[in-house]
Amino acid sequence: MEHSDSLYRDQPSSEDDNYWPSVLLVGGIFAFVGFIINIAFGYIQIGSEPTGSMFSPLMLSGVVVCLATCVGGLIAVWHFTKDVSPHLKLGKGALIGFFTGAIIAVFSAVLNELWLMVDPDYTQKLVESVVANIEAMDLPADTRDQMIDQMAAGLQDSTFIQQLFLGIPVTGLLNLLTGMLGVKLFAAKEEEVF
Amino acid sequence: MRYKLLYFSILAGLIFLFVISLGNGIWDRHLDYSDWNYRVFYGICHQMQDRSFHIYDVPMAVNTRCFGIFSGLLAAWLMVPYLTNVTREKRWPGLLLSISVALQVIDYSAGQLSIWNSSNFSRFFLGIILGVALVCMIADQFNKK
Repeated sequence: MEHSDSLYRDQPSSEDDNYWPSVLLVGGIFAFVGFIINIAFGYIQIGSEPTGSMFSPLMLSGVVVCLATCVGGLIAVWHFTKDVSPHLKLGKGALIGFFTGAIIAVFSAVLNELWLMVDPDYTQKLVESVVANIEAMDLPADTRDQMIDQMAAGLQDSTFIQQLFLGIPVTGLLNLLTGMLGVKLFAAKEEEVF
Repeated sequence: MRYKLLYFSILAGLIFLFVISLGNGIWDRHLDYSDWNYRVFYGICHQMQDRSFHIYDVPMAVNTRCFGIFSGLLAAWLMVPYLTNVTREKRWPGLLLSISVALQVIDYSAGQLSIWNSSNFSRFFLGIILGVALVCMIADQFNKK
């Protein structure tokens, strides 16, 4: 009996390992950091003079947030292997990644909603600033109009449900893939059992 | 190959991602950035028209770099049953992923610093390499032990 107990202790952990703390912690941090970056660059955009440059502070924040959003699954799996168990299968890593992406989407939507209570005019001011910058660009009129339509459509307020519906599938899938990458990089290798 | 359900679920997801990233052009619809298939990418892609491919004069829902990544992911994912053996216990997938990430950083930084301005096709090509490299890195996990 003792022999079998010690044998089981050395085996990869059971399916009961709770991955939610890793998912919530990493998802929450990434959502918060992404939100802060977005808001900070948003206000930099609002406060800046229209330069006509193609690369605005808002666009730069988009790239940073995009990268940060996609590696959430990887970091969550890393946290799980450090904090809970180094043994996890590919499916569980994928699940951790997907849920981390979903949490990022949910928390981001909640934070965006909360910020609109703090500054209800934020979106309007941002749209005006972006439109002013595009109007200062040296572009053909129809191209400029298209860009303004695009920016205005993209920046307009989405409902909370729309943000979730649009955010979870893509963010979830990309984090699912990086979650599987996390299994490859951080999980203990399965050993043959004879 | 193991984890078949996971494999086919992700395949379905990547096909979905690829199709909606094509934008409205393939459905013979006009450009409307408030359509859901454009809004779904708003947070992860700048969607600049001059940096996107066009289908019937309608820009895709993502720029060329993102489209390259999605295309690379899908193309390589279809090859996973083959890649499981080719990549097993090999070091080149890690090297490929490192190089592809470095290329993205160099290309993006060079563009930002006006050192050079890469073309849509070069961004698309670099995106493909990143997508393929990511799948190559995880493909051996599907190998039956």
